[in-house]
Amino acid sequence: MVDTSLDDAVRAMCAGDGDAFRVVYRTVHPTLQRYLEVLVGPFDAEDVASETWAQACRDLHRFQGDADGFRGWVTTIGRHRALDHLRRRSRRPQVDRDLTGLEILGDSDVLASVDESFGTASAVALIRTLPQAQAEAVMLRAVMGLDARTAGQILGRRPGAVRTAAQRGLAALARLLEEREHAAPTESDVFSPPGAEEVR
Amino acid sequence: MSTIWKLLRPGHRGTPRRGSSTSPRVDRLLDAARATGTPRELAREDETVMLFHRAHLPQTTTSSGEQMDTARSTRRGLQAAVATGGVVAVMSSGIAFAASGHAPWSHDSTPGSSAGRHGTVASDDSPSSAEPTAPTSDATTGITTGPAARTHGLRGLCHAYAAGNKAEKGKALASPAFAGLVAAAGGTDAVPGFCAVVLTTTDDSSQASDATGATHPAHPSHPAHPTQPAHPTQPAHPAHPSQAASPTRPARPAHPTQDAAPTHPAHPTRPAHPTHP
Repeated sequence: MVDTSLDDAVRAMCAGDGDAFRVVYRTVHPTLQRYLEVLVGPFDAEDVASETWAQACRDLHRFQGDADGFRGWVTTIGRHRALDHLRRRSRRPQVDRDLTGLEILGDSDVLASVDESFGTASAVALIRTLPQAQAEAVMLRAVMGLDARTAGQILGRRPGAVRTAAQRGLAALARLLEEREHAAPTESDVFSPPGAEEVR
Repeated sequence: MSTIWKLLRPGHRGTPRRGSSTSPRVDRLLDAARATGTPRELAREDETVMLFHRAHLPQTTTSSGEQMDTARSTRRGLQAAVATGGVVAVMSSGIAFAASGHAPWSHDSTPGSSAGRHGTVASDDSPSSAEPTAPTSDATTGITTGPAARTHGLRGLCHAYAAGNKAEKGKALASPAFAGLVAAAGGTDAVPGFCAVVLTTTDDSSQASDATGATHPAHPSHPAHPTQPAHPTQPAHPAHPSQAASPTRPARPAHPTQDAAPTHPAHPTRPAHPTHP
């Protein structure tokens, strides 16, 4: 996921190169925003991500490191911004746990991007239904690809604890997906485009 | 299934390093969650790039070498931003630019050459005054400094400027990233008014044309002196827009309105090249 070219881009970005910043942003931002979505929900994640990048830009002169280091750094900022946001709104991170929103998001996302076999938004929404520690661990480790040490630093937990949480989260996701397929075959059939039966 | 999760148990050295799964369903879900950014997700990219330039550059301009690098990258960044995000500006300001035949906002980026050309052209067009020829020199120098990039970046710069808080705004205008904007507005003090015009008149090309045309009287310190060389303290640096952002530059008197600058009654209110096609 992280290659040397992103390391180069991070280095150039730190030297003030706007093009390099753009490369880094395009690589890092999507999964960062999805992680923030797990924390604050789909409607606020974009604003929190913007705050995160604004602070990252302001403080970039203090950052030193490679691509992995930058991803960990900016994700730490993002998590702080997300928690601030939740405090401001006096909301708990896991306020929206019902799957109704998941279906809505899944449908719209499938319509929005036909290339995806599984809608990105519905995937994130499903991860968000996990207990927060597991959801965060899955996002940081399995989705963003951060190592356990970096993820542990972001979450303020030991690497082993983060590994465990990620594994439990993945196991829970496997169960959830299985249940969805068996319990509601028509609803879980988000992979086929609407109207496929009519075409056949 | 159970073997999969045994493999993923903590401490198991065969575990895929970054928490990947061997369940096909979960893998598919993770792939979806890892997908590259959609246009919707990257909708704020240009805004963020502007923030990067505004926030990052002042701290990097500590030495002249760094400053040059920064200026170059700023310009590249702006051009890149323009290439992806300046469509609206192309459609509005670009038309105004084409209609009026000059790119007034580019002229401060090459103050020296601009001043030098003032006189030369003035002797042909308007012997009594150099002022009306400012647009001509702008057009000439603008070509060499990439007028398109500056033109199209103005709207974005105004947005970026408007997004900052009051304390940040003053500092931001001293950064090379805003050199083009300060030059276009005719001085730091004139930026708020200029941006107000740019952001509200981009749908009206004739209005934008009038507004931008009026913001650029000739350099007050260079009346009609046909043979006068470039001002020694302001050499032509088309490749270094950061030079134009020097906070020591005197604020230009013009405002982005049609009124002539009140402190310079001698200024004609009409540029040599009519803004009406």
